[in-house]
Amino acid sequence: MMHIRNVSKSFGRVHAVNDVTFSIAKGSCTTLLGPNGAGKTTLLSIAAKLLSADSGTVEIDGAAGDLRRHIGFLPQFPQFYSWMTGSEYMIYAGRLHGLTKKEAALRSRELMEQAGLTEAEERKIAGWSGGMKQRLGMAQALISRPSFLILDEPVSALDPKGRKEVLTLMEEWKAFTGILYSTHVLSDAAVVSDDVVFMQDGKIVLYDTMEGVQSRAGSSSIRIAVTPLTDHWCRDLERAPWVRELRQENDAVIVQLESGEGADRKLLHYVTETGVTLTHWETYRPALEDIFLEVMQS
Amino acid sequence: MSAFWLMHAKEWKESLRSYRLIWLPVVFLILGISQPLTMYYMEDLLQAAGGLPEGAVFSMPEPSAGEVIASVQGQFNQIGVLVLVLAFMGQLSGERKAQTDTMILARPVSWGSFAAAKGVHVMGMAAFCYGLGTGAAVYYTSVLYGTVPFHDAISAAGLFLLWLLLVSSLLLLFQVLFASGTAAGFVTIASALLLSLGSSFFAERLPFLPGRLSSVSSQLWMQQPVEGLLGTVLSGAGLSIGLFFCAVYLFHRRSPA
Repeated sequence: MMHIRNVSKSFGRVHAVNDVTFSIAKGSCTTLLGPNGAGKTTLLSIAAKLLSADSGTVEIDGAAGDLRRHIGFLPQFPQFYSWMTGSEYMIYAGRLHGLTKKEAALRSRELMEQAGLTEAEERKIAGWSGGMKQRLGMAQALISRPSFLILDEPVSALDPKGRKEVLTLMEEWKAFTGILYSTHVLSDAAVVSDDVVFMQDGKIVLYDTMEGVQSRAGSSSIRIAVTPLTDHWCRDLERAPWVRELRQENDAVIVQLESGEGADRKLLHYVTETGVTLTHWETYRPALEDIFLEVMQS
Repeated sequence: MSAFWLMHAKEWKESLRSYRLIWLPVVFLILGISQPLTMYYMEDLLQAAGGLPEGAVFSMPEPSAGEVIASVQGQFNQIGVLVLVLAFMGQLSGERKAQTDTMILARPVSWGSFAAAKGVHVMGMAAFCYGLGTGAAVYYTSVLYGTVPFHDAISAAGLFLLWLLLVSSLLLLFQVLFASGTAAGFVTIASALLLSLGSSFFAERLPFLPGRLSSVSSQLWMQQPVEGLLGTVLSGAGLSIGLFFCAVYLFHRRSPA
């Protein structure tokens, strides 16, 4: 397990990261979500030991201190020695982790193949495309078989094809490492993550499993319009146990239902029972985007 | 192999790939060869250029072998040092700026070794270039003028090399201190100049300042008597080592791990 405990970091008067605590299990993937400036990169740099925290600790399996040998790190904008070839860079990276030349070369070939870079590996990195560099960035993070991978925006700068390739790699590599990665592309989080950490202004605003987050999304909202629409009718509806929240919007009402079976049928029943005329009924299921916005606003 | 040697080897490879390992020695070679040759053929050159009126007698005192090499060294001290600093002033700060250091420092390597590997490479390059240039100068001088006694040559060369190491340490330190490579290069040149000027200014009262290294070296080449040689060597070596480890320590201290 990797534990991030009460980590805080300020730059001047700005609290970039403010008392953040969460954990990542090996073999699972945690997504760090949040708008630009939420403190994601700062937090990841602290976890990767490239930045010191003002307070708080990062531990792996109970050990704190220099954890760099257990971590593979991909920065947001990976910059390589462009005069090296892909495999030279990989071997150099591997040897800095203490692998022998042979081990590093073997491991490099294996990862290059997984990343689909075998054909380019003997060419200078200077001539590589952005997507190839991003995949090389992923591969170099794994050269030492780290227990944890820390990836800063691994997919955000890629086109849809590149994004899919990197997400596939993450899915494969999740089997043997814990992954902590940041993104602001919400739909990607849904693909690979097990846990989700929403950050805003340096603080965690929501920390839940992906299922937990999706079950929030799973509770559907229904937009209804009835005549006559009275305050009394609304108040009674709001008191029903299967209603989570009720919002009035012009002449319609948006009812957010508790998750679970049959809440929508109960709503329909309530409408017919109270004898009002139903003029509009629309069901919608909020996407991750809506939860994101909702969480960020609250 | 330790991380230090790996990173050091990477610096050599980078210098080779960027052709710095070729052109920098070539600059020193050209300086080392051209000076004895032009001095020797100056009379012929002037005549061929037709700059002298008919019947004018041109005579220059024949310089000694030591004087020729000392004047070569004067070139190394001006052009050579400038070129060396220009070639390496972006070595550390360039990596910080381009962020190529991020994925290296995220590995279990010491920040101190990262900086030290770079500093040691510049020193190696300085020694290589200077050795090559001086070797060429000594050879051409021996053919055209004569030889300098071996032990004088060795101590004179050693002294100037120490000066180059001092400049390399300054460059590393200023690269750690300044984000901009240009600023680091400029301040390195300026402080080397100040060291030289200061020591010649205080030559009478403090005949052991490290800034004397290059001038004392020239005196040795010319086989002139030198005062305070030991003091100069000790202060020069002390300052080089001190500045180098100061740079390494300051960079290492920035490591969060």
